[in-house]
Amino acid sequence: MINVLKKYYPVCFLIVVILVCSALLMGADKINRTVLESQQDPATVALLQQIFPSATFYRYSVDTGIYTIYDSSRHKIGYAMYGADNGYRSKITVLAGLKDKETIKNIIVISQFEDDAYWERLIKNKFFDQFIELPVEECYSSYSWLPGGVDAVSGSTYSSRGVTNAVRDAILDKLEYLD
Amino acid sequence: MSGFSNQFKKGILISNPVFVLALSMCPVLAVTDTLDKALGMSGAFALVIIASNLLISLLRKTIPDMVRIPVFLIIIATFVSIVEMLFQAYIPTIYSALGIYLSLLAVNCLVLGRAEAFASKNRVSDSLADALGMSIGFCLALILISFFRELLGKGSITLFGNELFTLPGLGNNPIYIFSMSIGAFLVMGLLLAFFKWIGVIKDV
Repeated sequence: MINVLKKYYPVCFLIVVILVCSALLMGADKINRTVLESQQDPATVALLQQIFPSATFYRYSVDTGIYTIYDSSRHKIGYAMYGADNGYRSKITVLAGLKDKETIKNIIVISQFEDDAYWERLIKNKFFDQFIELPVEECYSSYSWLPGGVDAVSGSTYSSRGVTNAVRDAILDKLEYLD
Repeated sequence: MSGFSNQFKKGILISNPVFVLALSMCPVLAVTDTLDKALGMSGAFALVIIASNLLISLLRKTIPDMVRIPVFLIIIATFVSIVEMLFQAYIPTIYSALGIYLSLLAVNCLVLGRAEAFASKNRVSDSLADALGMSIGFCLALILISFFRELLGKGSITLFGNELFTLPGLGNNPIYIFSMSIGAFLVMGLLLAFFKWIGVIKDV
């Protein structure tokens, strides 16, 4: 009996160490999650979830103005940043979400006071859908009226340009700070 | 107590992990471009080595020889993960800046080396002295290297977002090479030569 115990002691010891360490890590993870959740602003998380549905945590850098977004497992899933530019009647502010340095995930318009008729034309023509999965290079490939990759909506050209330039304003200066 | 104090001093100077043992070069060279990162890495290293040395020393008589290395690795990796979580929650800027190098502490040769060569064979108090000495020695080395690299490579010293001072003449024209990896080797080599010249380090 003693011999059997001696034989299996190393394996049993290793299993016990693994179990104790796993329990310790689970405890630490729970505390870490609670601390992280207490640092989140629910309104901002809800906003970010419109672009990244699995967004659970975010970190905001005051220096760069970049939100780094994490899922519930704390894996980085993307970035988001604000940008603004003038439309036809008002300043248009957007929140642009990036999957990585190369691809825009989606955008949401935070504020605008454009004429309803012009704005509805953008929605009706699915103007904003053009930004989904849009390569970032399409945003700075051209500094013409509207950059390549995004077509303006006829009759709402100023608003189209405002949105596109706001997206460009959001991401172009910040790309160098992304990991 | 003299044993404790001797072991403690050993790690700082006689067996300095960076300048004498030349161990753990990967994080030393990678994270010393700024003082912030060097301090962050020093703190993480200290927490991991102190905790793992203490636990391994406490368990040294019960750890079977056959599985000692896996046990050391599991203990060290657990503490590294806990430190990572702490950094992520409380100092996210440093956590992001250190990146993969924080996780790599789990396979750091110095931490594993001290566990295998010292903590698993010595009393808890001696292991604690060894861990403290090594931590301070590692921290001093990182601070020295990062101080010169940041000063010359950026022209100023910034600590946690506050600019402490700017070197006249270098503020606008820093020597960028010192911010690069090659700058780490240069500064380390020059510091080693200086310490040897003044006789602080004998066994380089």
